[in-house]
Amino acid sequence: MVAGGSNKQIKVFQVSGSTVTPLISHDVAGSPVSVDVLNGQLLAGLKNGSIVEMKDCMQQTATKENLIECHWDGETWGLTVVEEDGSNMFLTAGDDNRLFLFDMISRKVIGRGLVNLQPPKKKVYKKGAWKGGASSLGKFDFKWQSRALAYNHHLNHVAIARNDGSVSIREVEGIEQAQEGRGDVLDLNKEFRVL
Amino acid sequence: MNPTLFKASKAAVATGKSFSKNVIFCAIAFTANGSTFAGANDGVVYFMQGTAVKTKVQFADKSTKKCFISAVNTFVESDT
Repeated sequence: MVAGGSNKQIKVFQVSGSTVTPLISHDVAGSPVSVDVLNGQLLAGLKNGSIVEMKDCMQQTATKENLIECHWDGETWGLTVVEEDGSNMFLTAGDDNRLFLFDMISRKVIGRGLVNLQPPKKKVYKKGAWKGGASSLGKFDFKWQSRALAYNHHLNHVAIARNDGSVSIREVEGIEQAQEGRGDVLDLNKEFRVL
Repeated sequence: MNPTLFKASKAAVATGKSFSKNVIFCAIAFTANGSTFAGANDGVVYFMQGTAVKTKVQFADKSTKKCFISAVNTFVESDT
């Protein structure tokens, strides 16, 4: 199990039965708000918007590299690997109304989408009005901010949780071709359902 | 919050045992066998099976400033 805290640390734990043992701790530049592991490499989305890649995360000497300095214009609240055989892809979503699919091999964005497909609004809050879910320094209104992300590899669906409590389900077509470098950048805006 | 966790937190509030008062979960992940890890704003990752808290993992030193657990995930270490 891997967890990140607001003390700017990421810790890896070993789980055996009901025993959870801390293995290693890594310091990072910002508070991690999303973590996942892709082929042994730890990926963390930080509150400062960057995405950190950590090779050999089980070693204290793990190399840390900023894969992306900035998630377009916000905090990287959602990060999930695409669990396909031999996959080197991961998805991210932020409070900047952006959704990206990255390929670790080519180090390129191979898919793009929006958190909310409605025309975006900048934050304008009336006095005493509800400001939306969790706090954020993002420029966009809470309905255009993502807070969590999940990928279902059986159905090729992406679930994007937004800061207003809704979840948008997207259908992803042609993910394999995109990873092979064939075709255009994938469209992640094919909304299937909103919950 | 998933239904199991919601039930668990309600049960905990009723008994006052499992969770700290007014705990807020900021991150949730499942294991392959259906157990749950829930990171909370009291600096603890709760390891749960069903609605029962099996283990509390203190993330940061209790003496340090209040720590939110803002990200949790699970993975299986590869043999290769």
